[in-house]
Amino acid sequence: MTAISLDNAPPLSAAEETEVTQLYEERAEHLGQNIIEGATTLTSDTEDWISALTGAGSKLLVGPRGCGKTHLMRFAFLMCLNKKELPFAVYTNLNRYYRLEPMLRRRPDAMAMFYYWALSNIFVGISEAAKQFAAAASVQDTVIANLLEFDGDVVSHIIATLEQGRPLSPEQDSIAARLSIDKLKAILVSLAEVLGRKRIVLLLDDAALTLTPEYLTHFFDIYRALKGTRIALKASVYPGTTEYGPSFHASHEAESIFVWKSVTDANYLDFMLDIGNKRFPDLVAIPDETRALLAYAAFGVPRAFMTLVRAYLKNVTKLATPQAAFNRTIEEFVNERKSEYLTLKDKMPQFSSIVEAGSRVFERAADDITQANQALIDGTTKQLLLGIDPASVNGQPYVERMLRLLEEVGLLYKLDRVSHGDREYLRYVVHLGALQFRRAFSRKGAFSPRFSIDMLKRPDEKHPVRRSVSTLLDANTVAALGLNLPNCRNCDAKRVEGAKYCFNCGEKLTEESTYDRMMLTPLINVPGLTKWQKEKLGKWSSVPRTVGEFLALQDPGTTLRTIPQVGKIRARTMIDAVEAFLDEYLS
Amino acid sequence: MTTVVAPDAILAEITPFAAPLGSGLDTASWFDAAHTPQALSPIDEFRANLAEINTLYLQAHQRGDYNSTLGGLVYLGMVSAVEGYFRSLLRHLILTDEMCAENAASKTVSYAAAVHHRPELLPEALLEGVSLASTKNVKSELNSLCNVAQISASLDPLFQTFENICQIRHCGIHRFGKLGSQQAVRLGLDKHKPLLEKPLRLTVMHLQDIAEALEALVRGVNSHCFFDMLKRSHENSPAGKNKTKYYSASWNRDWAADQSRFEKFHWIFASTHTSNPSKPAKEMYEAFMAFIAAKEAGQ
Repeated sequence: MTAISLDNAPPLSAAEETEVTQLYEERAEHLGQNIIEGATTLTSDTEDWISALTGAGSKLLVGPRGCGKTHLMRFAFLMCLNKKELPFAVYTNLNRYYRLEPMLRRRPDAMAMFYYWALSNIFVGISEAAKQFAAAASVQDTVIANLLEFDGDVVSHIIATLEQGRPLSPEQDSIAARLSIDKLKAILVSLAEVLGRKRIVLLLDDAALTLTPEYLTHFFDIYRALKGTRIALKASVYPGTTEYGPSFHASHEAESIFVWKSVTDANYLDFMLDIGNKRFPDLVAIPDETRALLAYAAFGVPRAFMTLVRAYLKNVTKLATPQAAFNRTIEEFVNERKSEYLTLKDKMPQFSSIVEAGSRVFERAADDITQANQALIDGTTKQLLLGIDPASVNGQPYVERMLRLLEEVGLLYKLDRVSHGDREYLRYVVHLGALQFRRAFSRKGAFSPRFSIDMLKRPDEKHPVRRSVSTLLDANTVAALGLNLPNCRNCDAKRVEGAKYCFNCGEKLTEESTYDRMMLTPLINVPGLTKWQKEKLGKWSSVPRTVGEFLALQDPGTTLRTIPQVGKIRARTMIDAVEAFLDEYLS
Repeated sequence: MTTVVAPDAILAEITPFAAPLGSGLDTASWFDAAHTPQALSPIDEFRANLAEINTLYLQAHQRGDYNSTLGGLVYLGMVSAVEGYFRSLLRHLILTDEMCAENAASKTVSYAAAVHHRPELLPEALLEGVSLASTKNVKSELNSLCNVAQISASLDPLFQTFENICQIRHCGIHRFGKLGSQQAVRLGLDKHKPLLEKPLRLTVMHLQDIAEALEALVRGVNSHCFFDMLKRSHENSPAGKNKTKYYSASWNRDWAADQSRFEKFHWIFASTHTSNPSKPAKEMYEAFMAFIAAKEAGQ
């Protein structure tokens, strides 16, 4: 996510413009390969994660946005490229799946289109990887081209056609239909042979497809079918996802690798600071204790750490004291996390009251954990854990979903893998940013990063703060939890949950496309645009009003440059902001 | 002495039943003679039929009256609605589209139909001997009448589901829902062998899934057929690039001049029902013109 501290800045200088541009480079997709290699920390955790990616066996790489999944996959790819004993690796990013979401609501054959799209993307990944591996192994291009059978450009064109929602030509249709799973497997095996690799790993990044559970189910059918004795599948997903479909049992089909570093791990600080030092040289400008506190506030998410560090450095130049700068930074960050969570209401309107309830549960949990720490302030322990009575969760699908959504965005960290005693409680760590915002680890009225760090380094309380969902929320709210379904569009009768047709008029109950709705977002509401940019965009009539109209422009750069004082760089940062918004919001 | 057993002792006792009234039933009275065909497009007719069937079991379910016998009957009705759609579509195409009319010209209809049908219903007679509750027959009729030889491969999964639904329909019609061996073979023996001679037990959720699958197929075929035939009406016209000229006239590329021809064609495929209406003819016409222009620019 972007640093909202930039929002209130005065008009940008050229140097600042460059900085904003760099901000988006925090997304690993935008980093060059050499930077990734240089900056990826190989702590023992990362080493394990990388070897899970390069090794045999199907894996699901699980972690929230920004925790480094893409980094790990790209790094694993490069390892494979450079080491002959490692498998032939293929990297494919599926984050543009949302372009096919409107189709799902309007085209009965959308599933087939998604299938074409997914396999075409994998093929393009294979084709690009094959060229890189061939260069490394001095295999001739013509040999590779023959084995590939399909032309990468033609297949890329099929992807573009589908993403634009245009009909495939008969030629494209017939190519897409021939590009089957078996065909891809055969191509992979013969390529590996020629490239002198014994095994193959397929790295499928951004496979959570959160907006479209329908596609997700279908995707995991493809995942299952692509597996082979020599082909290992690796897909990255968000925590809390369980909708892999009826034929995919996550625990049987693949091993889940949790790549979200827990703040409760003994080496947490070393891990985060090491990444920070390598990827962000300015880190040394921040005092040790503050740096460590920011690392804790990032809650295991490197991208969040980067954002915090940048925001702090900016705030420190604007505000009178380091304390004010730190507090402002945490406040902005926590607000950004919360609003990110609340965007789930727009993405999945059917869950809006569940999301709302989840937000209250989270606030209450953070308050309670803060209180517990305040009670321990003169003691020798700390309290990070919330224990929820499983009887108040299990068998209650809405409550389960509520907690999973909090996990998905990274506000709650579920500790279910190791358990010492306390087995009967579901244990969660509440986002440390939210706890720091509440001064959970500070004496009242005093600001001492040293004290906070010392407290965070204390051993844990023996038992978590125990709650049931009905004490975190009130019992009535729990009982009333449900989906928010619109009435039948035809006759306005109330919908029956799970129904596909209206009981009253017999017509199909239809869903609105989230993507289409997103396209109506006013351009000036795009997060990541500076205040100055928003003002200009709002005033200038030559610039479209909505995100959809903006994306439809042939050349948005030229249009933006009709605004006075907007040159190439500013136009670029604005376009990037819109694109980052779509990627972040919809992936 | 032997006692003579009266025939009644056997005939009247094994399956006794009161004699039905009258000597025969007046089948003619079963039909709605006053019915005037509504001006519904094939897709709207299908939608209306399906909606009516849907309310039947969904409301029974709401009242707590649903049972799987009703489910079995509903199932037959749903497939019948699909068959009705295909018949209606093909009939309208033969009546409206030059190429389809040409293709139908060499086909034979029964003497009774030729003599007694009104001309606008005559094409219906062409399909009388054909069951359209099978993927194979649907595809072959689309091919022979509309020259849609290769309907998009993207519809294959939907056709596959349709075929399975039709197979099970056989059991519903001929065996009161029990799974027969032929159907089990076609549906996949591995999964269906243990179910031989077991009855259908459809839940309300199953029925909605089936309705959705059927509607998806119908709407999918409808869209693809519309697009395919539109393309052909240009490509196989004097102005088009294809050698075979099925159409004597080309599109004028002017709404005023093309409106009447386009609207007739559009009507066959369009749904006007408020629940999920098609885009108006003029907008579709503009999209079609843009498509032709893009194609030509590409060549």
